[in-house]
Amino acid sequence: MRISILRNFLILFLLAIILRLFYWQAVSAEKLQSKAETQHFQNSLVQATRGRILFSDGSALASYRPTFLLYALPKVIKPEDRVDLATKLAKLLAQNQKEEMDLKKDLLEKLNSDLFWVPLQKNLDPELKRKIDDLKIEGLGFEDGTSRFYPEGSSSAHILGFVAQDANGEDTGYFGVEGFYNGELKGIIGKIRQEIDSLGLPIIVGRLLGTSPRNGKDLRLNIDPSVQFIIEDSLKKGIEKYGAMGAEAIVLDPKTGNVLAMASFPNYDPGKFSGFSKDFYKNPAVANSYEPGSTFKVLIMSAALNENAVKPETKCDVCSGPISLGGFTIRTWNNKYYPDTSMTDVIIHSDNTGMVFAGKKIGLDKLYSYLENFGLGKPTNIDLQDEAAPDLRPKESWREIDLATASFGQGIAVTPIQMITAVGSLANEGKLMEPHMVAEIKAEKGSFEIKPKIVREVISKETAKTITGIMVRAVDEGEAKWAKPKGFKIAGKTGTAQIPIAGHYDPNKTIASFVGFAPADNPKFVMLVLYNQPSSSIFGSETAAPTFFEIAKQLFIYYKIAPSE
Amino acid sequence: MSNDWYSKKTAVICIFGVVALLLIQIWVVHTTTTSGEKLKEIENLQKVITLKNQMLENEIAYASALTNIASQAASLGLKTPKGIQYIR
Repeated sequence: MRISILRNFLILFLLAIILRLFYWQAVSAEKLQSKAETQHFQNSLVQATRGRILFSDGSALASYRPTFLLYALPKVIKPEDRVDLATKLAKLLAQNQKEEMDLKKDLLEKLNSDLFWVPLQKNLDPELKRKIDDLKIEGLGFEDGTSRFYPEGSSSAHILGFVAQDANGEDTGYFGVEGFYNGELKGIIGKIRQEIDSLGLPIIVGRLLGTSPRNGKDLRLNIDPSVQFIIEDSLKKGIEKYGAMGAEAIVLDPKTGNVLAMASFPNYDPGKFSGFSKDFYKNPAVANSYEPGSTFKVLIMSAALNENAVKPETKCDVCSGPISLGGFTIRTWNNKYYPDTSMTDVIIHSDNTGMVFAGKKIGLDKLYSYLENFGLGKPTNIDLQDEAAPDLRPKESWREIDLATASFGQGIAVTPIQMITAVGSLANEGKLMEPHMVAEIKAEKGSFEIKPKIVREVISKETAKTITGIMVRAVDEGEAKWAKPKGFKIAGKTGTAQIPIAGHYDPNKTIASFVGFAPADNPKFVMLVLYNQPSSSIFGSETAAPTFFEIAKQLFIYYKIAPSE
Repeated sequence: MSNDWYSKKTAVICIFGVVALLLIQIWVVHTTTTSGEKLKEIENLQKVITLKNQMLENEIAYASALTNIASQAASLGLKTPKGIQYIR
């Protein structure tokens, strides 16, 4: 009897075990498997670094620095400890007392939230992380990260752009090279799934799955750090000296289209971009248009020479006084007139009436096609985000007065990069080059060089030589001759363009510019300097030209170019 | 007799075998655990060194930035030359 009771009990016990085993191995299998996986495997993300942006000599213009995200586990932190913790953290993290109060309030709110994990502060530097670590507070942790570092500060800001978080919280480049090449610069986060033991240590013979992080590609620019420094320094001094609202300068290698330097003021610090107005973010050198004024005359004259419509010695038979056209009167800038002046002298004296003569000689059809061939109305395709290209009005809408004013650079809009690219073609035997910021894209396995690109031949080699000669004489004999460095052959042209405001031109507000290249016989650089509304003098010959020559002097030394005369 | 001896020998060998395997297992488990610890240490050390390396690189980049060199040069009293004389 007792044996049968024992036997039945054992059978029931065995049945219970079998049922329980069935419950664990069949019914709860998935739940237990996932719990076991959580215990046995560790999933971690491996940060990828954003690619660096380098000067032409390999030195860093934009790099990254390691930072940390401080997070808290509110459910681990005791409620009675939260106020004290918030106070300690606020003291370490805040820059000033006012910020400390606001930060403490914000931190306390986060620590009191009903969440398992909450981010407290991002972009902490390693020193701050160490100080917080030393507090030895349970419930706090750090996640690795990186943030952008600009060792040059606000220098080259418009070239670079900046990095900010997009709607998904991911680092994204905006404006400049950061924006244009965001895809190449952005890294891809790696994921590792590793088998761990009960102490959380990796099992070296265990399973390891995942993908390695792919760091972003580095970009080496064509920008020369010394040339960049020279133009920025000169522009800063020029803005103060001439009382201008802003200034820009671009230096290109005319033979390749490589951008050697580019600066615009006012600028901003890309590392602290949120502290600046959004108006500063756009690069005026590629995004803002202006009426080029007399600097445009060299392009129109080269077109007229190329078409054999005029020769350098052709006499202007309408230059003895102001020209009346379609109800408008066209005068020279200084009301001086030179009857029977040659085309060379038209450029030397910056004679508007002479340019009207030349423009009429080419005719609207041909002039319009040269404007298109010089790149007007289309982007230059420079590798910077936010390039603008002001429209070229349809030919059919042009009246006689439009042809006349366009021939001396008014009533037509260009961006600085369009202007310098077009003039660069005169320095490059008539060939228009596509401007480029980036020389090389470097990946972990190999690099890709960006080669110079010829867009088209706009004028012949002979015409380019002729217009260069005229531009050299314009510098030697024109109104800016007093500032020219001695012994060097520089081809250039001043420009003073009145700014159109509410349907008319303001005589006191100008864009003063100078565009040129040197040495004229074998140009090493082509440069545009532009002041926006200089107050000390409205003329390009008294503001932009001296700055151009000052920069050119330094470039001659830097490039070891000896005087030729 | 010989059967007895044979079965005793087999039993001893089996016991030794099991003990040896147990010892090997203990050794393997210990090695993989401590290796895992070493691996974690190496990984952490790599992180720290990478971090320090990047910070040093950034310090170098900052110190060699022309804007900083220019302001340091100015504070030392160095000035831009007024002119250059070319010697033929």
